[in-house]
Amino acid sequence: MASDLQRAAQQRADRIAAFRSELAELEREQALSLAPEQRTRLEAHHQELLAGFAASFGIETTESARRVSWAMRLGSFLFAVALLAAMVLFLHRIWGLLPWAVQVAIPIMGPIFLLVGTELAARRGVPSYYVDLLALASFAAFIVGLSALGGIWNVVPTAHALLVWGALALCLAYACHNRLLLGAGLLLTCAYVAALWLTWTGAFWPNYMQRPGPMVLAGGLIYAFPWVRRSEAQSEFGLIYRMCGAGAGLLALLILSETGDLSCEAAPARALELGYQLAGLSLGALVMVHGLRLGRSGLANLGAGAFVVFLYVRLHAWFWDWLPKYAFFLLIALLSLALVLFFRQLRKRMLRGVAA
Amino acid sequence: MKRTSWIFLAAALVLLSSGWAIYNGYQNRRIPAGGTLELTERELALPPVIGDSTALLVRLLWRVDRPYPEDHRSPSWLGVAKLTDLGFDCGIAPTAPHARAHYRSMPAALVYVALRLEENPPDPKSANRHDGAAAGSQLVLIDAAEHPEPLRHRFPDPEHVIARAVLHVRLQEHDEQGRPLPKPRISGVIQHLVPQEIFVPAPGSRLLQPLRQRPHGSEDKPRQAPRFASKVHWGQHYEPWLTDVRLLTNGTLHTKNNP
Repeated sequence: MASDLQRAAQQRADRIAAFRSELAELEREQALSLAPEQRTRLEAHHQELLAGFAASFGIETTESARRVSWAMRLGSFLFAVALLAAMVLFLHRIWGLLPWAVQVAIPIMGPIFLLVGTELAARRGVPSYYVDLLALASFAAFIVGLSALGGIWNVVPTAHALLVWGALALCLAYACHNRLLLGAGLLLTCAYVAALWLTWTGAFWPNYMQRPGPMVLAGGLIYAFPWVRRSEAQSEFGLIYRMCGAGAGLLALLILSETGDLSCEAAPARALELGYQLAGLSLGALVMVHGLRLGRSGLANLGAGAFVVFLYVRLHAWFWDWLPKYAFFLLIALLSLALVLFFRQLRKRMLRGVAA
Repeated sequence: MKRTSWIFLAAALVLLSSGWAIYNGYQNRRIPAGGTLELTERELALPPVIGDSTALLVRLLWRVDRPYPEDHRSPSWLGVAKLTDLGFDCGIAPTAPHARAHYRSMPAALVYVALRLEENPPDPKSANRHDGAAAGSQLVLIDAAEHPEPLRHRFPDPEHVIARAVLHVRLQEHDEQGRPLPKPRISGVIQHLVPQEIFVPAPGSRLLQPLRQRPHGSEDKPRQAPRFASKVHWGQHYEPWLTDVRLLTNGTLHTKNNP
């Protein structure tokens, strides 16, 4: 896939830049010095590689080129947002004057044109950033378009819209290797599972966050997906699967730990709340440990963040009312200190592991 | 799978889901099984102009006969027995220790409701500040059920329409001023009809566009003389649509009719 090759080329160019910088530092410290012919051969090889990457993929091979490129990306992002806003506002301006058939055609053809644009841009080797922008615009246009169609036909909102939005985001994520769209697709799928379950119980689906129990299950399945599909495990997509799965499950547990799930009649609400609180704390800690073992700092930070949030929410619920306020904050300070000491020990152990 | 295949799949998804939405829309409008009513501006509120948008939707205004003045959306007939019929678990007494948690966590449900257009406008004395623009509406919500058939069986005549609404259960412990009630009570609250707003297609939208200019702050006040009327149909899926939008002059039909 062209975008994968482009990404790989950019990563190689970054590694070359880092290698050059480190080599210069080592030579300055007189820890290493290359023979003149070695240096010439290495330089020629790197130059040849970088020139090839620049010609084939238009990647940035120097720091200054990268800065200019970032400015260009920012400019094009603003251009895309402003252009979309202008189009939406223009459509609002003329919407009432358009014939019925045109009103129905625009929400369908808008995303289709943008999808065709995404494909053509990718085929012509346009830098992946711009292809991603087009894919994101297609996704946004589909959400707005389907909502507009629902509005035109005055339909009762349906949870199935979450499924088709999520499916489109997943298709575009795999087409363009876009992590943001993958995350959106996975979260929409989680929301769909919860909304569908709520519909089956006879309730109105937009309130699915009131009964987010099924999101824990959906989050767990998404978290486990990289184990089932080994090819995803080591890729950037593997991390997104794990972060979205853990994020959705932990958020659902946080809500359940506050409200209790009264749809489950087997246990009293208080016991259920306590169960969810303990589950949230343990799961946060497990996600953190798993993230550390995988060497994925994002996942470890998510787990640590969730653990801290669960802990502080509990402390607030247990102690805020009956402890003097200064004592409450002193307790928070002591616990934070204990957490810092714990993480310090953990880091030491990890460093020892790396050294061994 | 290659990129082109994913994009092709995405395009197919857009076309299929949009096609499904249109097919359902047509199916709904094939037969007005929910009924048809001739409504005026008393029941169809024009939203204020936002920016320079020409997209036009009207909001359905309705009332209920309520037992308590502050419960402007809690009909008198929507008691515990009716709520239980509708599938809500109201088995816990309002004075039970965990009643608050039980009723607060109960999600709202989508139900079918029967509406009737009353012949005369409501007595202005009976209105209160909670009613807002709906105080002048002659459209009254009179019954609810889990399924539409029992409602149609109960109200077979064409003056009654069946629509969909979101309903939730509330445990009321305080009155409007925040004072504790002598005895907590369980009531059903009709949150809104679904959809809340009805799209006005052209040429009706062009006809109503000039009427949208209203003085700021007057949106929530009922209008004395309605300026337009329209037929509202509820179809096979109990989703509404408008036809025959026309202007009124002091209650009489304007010469410039919308076909």
